[in-house]
Amino acid sequence: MPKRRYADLHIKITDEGDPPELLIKMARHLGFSLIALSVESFHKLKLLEPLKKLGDNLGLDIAFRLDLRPSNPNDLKFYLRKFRRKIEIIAVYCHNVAIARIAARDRRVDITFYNPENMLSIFDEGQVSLLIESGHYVEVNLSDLLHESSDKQARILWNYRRALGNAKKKGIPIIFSSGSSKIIDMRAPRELSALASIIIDDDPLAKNAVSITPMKLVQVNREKLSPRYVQPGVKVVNEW
Amino acid sequence: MVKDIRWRYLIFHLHTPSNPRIESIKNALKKHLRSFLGVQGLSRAPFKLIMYDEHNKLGIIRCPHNAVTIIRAALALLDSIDGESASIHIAKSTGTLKKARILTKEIAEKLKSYWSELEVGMKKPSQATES
Repeated sequence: MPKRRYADLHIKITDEGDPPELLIKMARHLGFSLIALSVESFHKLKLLEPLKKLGDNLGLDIAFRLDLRPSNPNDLKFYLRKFRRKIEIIAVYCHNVAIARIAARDRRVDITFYNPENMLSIFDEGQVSLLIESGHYVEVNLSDLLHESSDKQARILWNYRRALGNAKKKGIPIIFSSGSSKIIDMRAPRELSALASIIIDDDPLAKNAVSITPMKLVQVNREKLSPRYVQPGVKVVNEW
Repeated sequence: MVKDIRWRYLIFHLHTPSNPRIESIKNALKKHLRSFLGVQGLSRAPFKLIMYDEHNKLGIIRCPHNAVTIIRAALALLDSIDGESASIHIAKSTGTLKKARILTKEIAEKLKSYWSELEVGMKKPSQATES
């Protein structure tokens, strides 16, 4: 049986956080095979390009991700039009219902993630059915739970359990990430999977949420970005 | 004869810029797990800090085999020890203490080559310049 390969699709690159080189080395130490470095501004990505080489040297695959936090639906559409063909993963932070609905409907979005405090009011039946149609991934970040009081952690776990229970039933792919910008906040894949297991109550699904599911997302998106891609199921195999 | 309880020995590596004593770690673990699991949870998932090497920051925790997942999840949420930011990385899990001790030595050897760079990175800028 091949060895399971793990992925963390949300390692934030911020000015207050640790340098990306350290984050990459820590990810390798923790046992990840693939990580996605996320930025909130597309211009920062150009500076991160050389890090791919460092990742290659360490045997770590590095993908890039853009986190969008649009203030209104028009902003979201504008950013998607501008950046979709330039970056491997696009995630949208859904802080209100309007953004959540547009993000769930738009096939150019890969991942949606939510504020766990008001997740239940956004992540309702309507949102779930839109997500099923578009095939989006729902993400849970460990950083939402870290550095919080026990009461708040309990409330967040309850919200995630209820919302993701619904998503699990309908077959929406779920991924677990660290969402950290500091090496001390990063966690090993099995720790993430253990946390996933207590939230979604399903061991195989929890393991897949940190391995097969995020790997598949990156693989499909890389294929889409390749010049040979035409549309789902159609690609150029030979030119003459 | 089939054993009543199958223990698992979790070899952990403490990620922290400071050097906490074994008593601090024991207390932090007890406090954190009691708060996360509660009395009822602890009765189903008892744990014991078997050893801790202050030099290499490696230790061994014992727990029943069916409580490994919940203990791992609880430890993932530990974020400070003695007020200093810290995290616990479970490096390996074994079924015997003998094997756990052997693996601890191997991991300590492996970490020597690269861990210091990451540890310096964990320090706040002021702490980093002090050292």
